[in-house]
Amino acid sequence: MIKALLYKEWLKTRWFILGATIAGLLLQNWLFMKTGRSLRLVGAEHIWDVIINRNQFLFTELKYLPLFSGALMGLAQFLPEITNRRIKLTFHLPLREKTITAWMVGYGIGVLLLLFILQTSILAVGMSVNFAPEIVANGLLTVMPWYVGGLWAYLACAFVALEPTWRQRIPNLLVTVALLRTLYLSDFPAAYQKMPVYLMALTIVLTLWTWLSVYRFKIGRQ
Amino acid sequence: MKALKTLQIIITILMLSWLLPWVWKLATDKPQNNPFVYYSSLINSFGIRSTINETTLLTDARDNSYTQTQFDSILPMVYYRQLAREGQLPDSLHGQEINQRIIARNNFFYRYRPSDKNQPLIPLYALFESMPKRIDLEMPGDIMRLRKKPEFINPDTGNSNTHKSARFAIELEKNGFVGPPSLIAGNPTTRKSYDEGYVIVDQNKNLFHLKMVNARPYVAKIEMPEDLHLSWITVTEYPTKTFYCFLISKDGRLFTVQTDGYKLKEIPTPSFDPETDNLLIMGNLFHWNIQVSTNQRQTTYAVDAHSFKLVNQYTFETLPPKEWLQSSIFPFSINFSSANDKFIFPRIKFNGWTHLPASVLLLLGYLALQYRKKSWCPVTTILLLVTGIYGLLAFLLVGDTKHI
Amino acid sequence: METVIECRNLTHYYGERCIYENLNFRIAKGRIVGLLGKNGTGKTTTINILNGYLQPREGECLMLGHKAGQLPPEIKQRIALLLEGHVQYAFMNIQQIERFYSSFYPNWNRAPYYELMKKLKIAPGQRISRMSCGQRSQVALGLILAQNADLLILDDFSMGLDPGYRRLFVDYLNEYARAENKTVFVTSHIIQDMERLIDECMILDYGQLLLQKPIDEILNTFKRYRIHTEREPQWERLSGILHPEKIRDKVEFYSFNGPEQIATQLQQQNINTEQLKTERLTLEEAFIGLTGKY
Repeated sequence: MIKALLYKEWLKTRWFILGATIAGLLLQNWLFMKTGRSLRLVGAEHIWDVIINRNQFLFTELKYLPLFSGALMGLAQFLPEITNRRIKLTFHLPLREKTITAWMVGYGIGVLLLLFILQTSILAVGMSVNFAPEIVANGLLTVMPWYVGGLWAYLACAFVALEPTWRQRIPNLLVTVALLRTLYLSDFPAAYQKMPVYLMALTIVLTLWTWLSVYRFKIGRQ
Repeated sequence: MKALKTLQIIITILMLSWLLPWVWKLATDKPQNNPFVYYSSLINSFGIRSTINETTLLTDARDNSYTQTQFDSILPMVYYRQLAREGQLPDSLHGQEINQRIIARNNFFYRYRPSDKNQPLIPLYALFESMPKRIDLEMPGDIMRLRKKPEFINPDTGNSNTHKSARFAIELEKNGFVGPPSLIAGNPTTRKSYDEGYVIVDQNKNLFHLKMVNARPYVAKIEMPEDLHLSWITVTEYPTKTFYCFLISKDGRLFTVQTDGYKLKEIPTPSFDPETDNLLIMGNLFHWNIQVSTNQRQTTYAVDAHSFKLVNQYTFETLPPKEWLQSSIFPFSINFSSANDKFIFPRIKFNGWTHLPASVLLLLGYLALQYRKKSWCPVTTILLLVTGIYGLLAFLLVGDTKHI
Repeated sequence: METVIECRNLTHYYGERCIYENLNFRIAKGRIVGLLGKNGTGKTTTINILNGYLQPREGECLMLGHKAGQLPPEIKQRIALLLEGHVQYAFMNIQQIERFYSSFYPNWNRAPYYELMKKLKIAPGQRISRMSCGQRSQVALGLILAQNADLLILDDFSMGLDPGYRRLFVDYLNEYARAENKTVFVTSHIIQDMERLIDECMILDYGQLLLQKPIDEILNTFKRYRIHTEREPQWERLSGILHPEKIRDKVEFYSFNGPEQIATQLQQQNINTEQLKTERLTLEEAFIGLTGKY
């Protein structure tokens, strides 16, 4: 039964997964080509100097990629569920609602994590070719809030989409947009290095909130 | 489910306490114009240039007013180029020959902000050749990693220069350096007139000077009082070469390390907290203007440039921004960034109890409304009392824990 | 008789608006029951409560002996559901959706599903979202038949269907339910279809359940009466008369009472009943007679 449930999620999201993977690879490929060109033109020492002493991050174009990936994943997964209130069918499946919700959201987070781990691994490996581990570590800290932003955007979509009433959907949207905004407050590299606990805690809270929307759906808020 | 709803309300309140004060500030804040204050040895007072309602006032600390020409002439160390152009620059001052070149050479401008120190850093350092064959400094072609031992890496290949690394390691060890460093300061730029390398605090709180001279390591241990705990170091590399660097201690004391035998010299400084206050030093041939800006005031010391004795001081009290209205509406506020560092994390600021009357009013309004609807939620009541307007807005937005 | 659905003291409001109060009914195993009512009388509300998508303000419903809204998975397996508008996972094609559902239901029987699908002129791999409304209704029906559930709940199955598909749907369902002794609970706007399908009828009016009776009993006893008379009868002195109407000298009304009883009562008001006409009704006419035209 779980396999079938995941099969349904896969059918909804397979085009997104393909698209997001390709988009990520293309963007990273382009960024590495750009970096390679700068290294050839002005020399590694100068690029290192710019990164270390002038707080430049070479991959700022990645900033909103996870955010859009997460949001699109959420839409791909939950829009088909809420159109025509199809979610009623889903919750009529002979599984407990909590089980269904957990597997659906778990699937989405799982896919995004795989995608994000792939992207950050490529980034880490690609950076390691030309830069010292200190610079790579700084780079990964810089992209950390962006990738957390991807997860939050996904969870926000689930939370907002599954909420049954517009009266509550709009405040939910506002609060999650405000939360997302907190991840994009600074372009200074590694500015979020003191935030892992905050990021973790809110990721958990946002995950649990999905259940709040499902519960409201279950008791028939209209 | 109640717990989740409570979390939703609390996070809504926290977001409101971040956004509402921010919007408030956006709508109401005004520029903070601190005056320019500079000691004039000619009038034994401070020349003050302040801007009030977009008009510039030129005065001194005794409230005498000046025209621009008069002001230029009492501050020749500031306006020497203007004076020179008008032929008004004297040949000597206080028995010392002066001209444009001498003044420019002795003038310096040093600024410290807490965010210089509190920001993410990549611990890699370019160590320049301090005695370059040509006049101009050149990038060294490698980069130094300094942990337990130094390591010089070639950015093009990623390989480390083991020979050079070993030579520097031996020299550092010989001088008693124990890595990794706890503080390291230098100016890794070629746009300076000469290079003094790095000043470093090691694991044992000892202070060292490291530079590269003729491709060889130069290491000197700098004697420092036991009880001095450094918060920040700035290598100065000023044209006069009288001192290597500024040291700022955690308790806000300021020192220079003199080029003459690495002696520490304490500079009289207004009360200063390196975590929150800005420090500005405007030095010249005769005096240093040492200025500390806090949220409340801006204090300037004039110190003799040779004896470092305090000559005069001037305090400008910053007008406290009219915050009573804000703090009577908002019980607290959250900020994710600060002018004092480059990190992002939530910092909460409580505004005291002035919000209580407004909060109680809002609470009464809520109770009246809910009394008519016959639904009263104790959690909301408490949140309203504690968080005032945020609690009420959160209630209006996401409801209460009784109605999920 | 075994009870499959039971609702006790069901009360629900939307805000201040009362949908119904103290609704009680039970549905026995093997019956095909139609829930009729005008718009806004709470048909879909009842279906939503039964399926656990709505918590009633008061009262409770039992489905196969379990509280609605808290049905354990093994009970949900025994209940097939057709949503209003034949909503299904439209992003799947007919093979995918069959494969998807089959793993949820132990008694899954794909034969009737594919039999129905053969009748549809659709391309292999065609997504449900690109099918016509009628085709979609057949997919939804096929899935319900394949599920082989004990209880079938169908919310407004005739919505959006042209007469051919409606007939197909009804006939198929009818044959299946009677052959397999299934319990069926349906709502529909179009009452003509119901007559061919259901054996018991529940009629909801605003705020209450008007009646629950076998359909034969309704059609045999509930009649329309017509009479020509200049003088309007004093309706308040008559009992068991529903929705009387007088247009010029024509009087028309409905009643469960037999013609003799009606005639006697009218004669007491000195009305000539020689031309009293009794008419047998279709279910649709009976529905209008019971609930009124407005």
